[in-house]
Amino acid sequence: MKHVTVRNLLISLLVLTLLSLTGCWSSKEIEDLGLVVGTSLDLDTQEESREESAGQAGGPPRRDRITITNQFVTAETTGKGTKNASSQPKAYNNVSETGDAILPTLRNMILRIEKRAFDEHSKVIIIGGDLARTLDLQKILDFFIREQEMRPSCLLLIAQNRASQTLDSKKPMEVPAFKLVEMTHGHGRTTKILPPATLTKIEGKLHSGTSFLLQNVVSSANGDIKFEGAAVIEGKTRKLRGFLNEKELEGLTWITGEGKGGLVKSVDKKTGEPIIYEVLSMKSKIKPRVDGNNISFKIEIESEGRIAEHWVVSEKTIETDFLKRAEKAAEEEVERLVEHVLDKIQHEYKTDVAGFGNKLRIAYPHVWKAVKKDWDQTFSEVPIRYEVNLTIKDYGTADE
Amino acid sequence: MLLLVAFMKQPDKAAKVVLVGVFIPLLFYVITVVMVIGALSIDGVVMSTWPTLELMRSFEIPGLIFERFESWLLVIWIMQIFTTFTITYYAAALGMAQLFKKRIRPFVYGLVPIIYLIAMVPKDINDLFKFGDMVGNAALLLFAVLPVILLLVSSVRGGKA
Repeated sequence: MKHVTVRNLLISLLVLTLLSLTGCWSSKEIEDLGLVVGTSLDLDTQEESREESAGQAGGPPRRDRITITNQFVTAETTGKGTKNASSQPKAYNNVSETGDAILPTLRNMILRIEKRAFDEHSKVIIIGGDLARTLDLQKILDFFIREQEMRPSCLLLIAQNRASQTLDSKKPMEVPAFKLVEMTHGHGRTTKILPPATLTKIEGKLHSGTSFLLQNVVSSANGDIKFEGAAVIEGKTRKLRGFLNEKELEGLTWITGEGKGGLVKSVDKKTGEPIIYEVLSMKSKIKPRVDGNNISFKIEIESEGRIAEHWVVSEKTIETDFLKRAEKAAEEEVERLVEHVLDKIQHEYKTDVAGFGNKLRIAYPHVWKAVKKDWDQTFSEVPIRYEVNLTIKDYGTADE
Repeated sequence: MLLLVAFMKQPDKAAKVVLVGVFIPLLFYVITVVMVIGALSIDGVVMSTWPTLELMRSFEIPGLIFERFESWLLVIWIMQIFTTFTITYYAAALGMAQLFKKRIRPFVYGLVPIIYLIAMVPKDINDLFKFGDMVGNAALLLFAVLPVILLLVSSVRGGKA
């Protein structure tokens, strides 16, 4: 009997110890954290600081210096400061620091802020155009891919001018990093925005040496930001090669078939008035063909959509004749877009950003092995045919 | 797995049980490999140290109570480690007990410090990976090659099967 009570006591003691063990191991107080929501990387423009570091005798050789801006959300973002509209504090706090490697520079921010920078909620990395031109992206991103605190779901963008400017906003309650992330969701409704590129996706592409595209952000002097086309990253050097404008990006989206929605503005031949075709679904097949040493591609683009707007007052959409004519006009417009962007990526940039190489790798692995090393060069001379097939399914609620 | 068969109440169903037991994890592993390679591409998998975890971290689903899933993966992972550990631990103690013809208790407790010391052997993460490979190969030797040799020995000596 006594034996049993002792045992019961021991068991309850063990259970109680368990309760105290659930405590706060490795806890971090949220008030002490500086939540980083966005990071921008730029090439340092201040010449003096460069010379200074070069002048140090026996120091390491001079490197390109990187300016990193971290965007922290402040306590005011959580809604405290909304009452007094007169002196609204900003919802974010940008901190910049310059150095030649990423982590030491980030750590130097400790000298400037009282909070512990916490990267678990970082949503976006923006790389300035001039930095992406001069430095290998794999080197720049190595820290962000290696670091455990950084999430691989972080988005990557390229800024045509200073990246730190895209993290600035005139509106006090707006957090630009969040805004940028939300804006990438627009991919579903226009062909002018690329599908979001996360670090995970970029990692593989950087490693395999394929060229790829990143969404390009342009910031204007009055604090506005705009998505404008795409940045072309060359696979071999992993540096920025150039930009595609919105029209070219549209063409490219048609080639890859990755678009989910968007518009095609075509012009009616008879009247010269615009007809707007709205994409409901988009599909493309890139078919590689190999004859001996000659590689060629055929793109088959298929899409279903509807007439969303047309200014041709004289015609009725209810007539099949007119629909056929509108289809034809939209097809021609898409063909024009595709032709234009193919010319640009093949002959001007000489980079395969549309994934032709991948299709060749899947269909003809042996051929791919042989051409893999110099693929971008080979790609620039490959003949590509394309076929666009659009179907208009309906014309909305007006049959006029 | 072979050890548990010896203790089954209906040993005649052994083959079926073993097959099902192997097939289910096999299915899960194949699905995992296909998903990971499909999402990260081979080049991405080669580059990351923990590809499965990387995959779980690479997406967030807003609006689904939980936006992030890696902690759930880790919970299940730890549960899995625990179950495999208990079985192998028990098997090791049992084997030793039968070998020395002693009771099992002292071996169960005696193995604890030994396992702890072995766990301390790998000095860094590369060592750990090498150690893992070695254990895998040793398992192949112990559970595929050794039983065959023992079977041969027993048939040569003419013992009853």
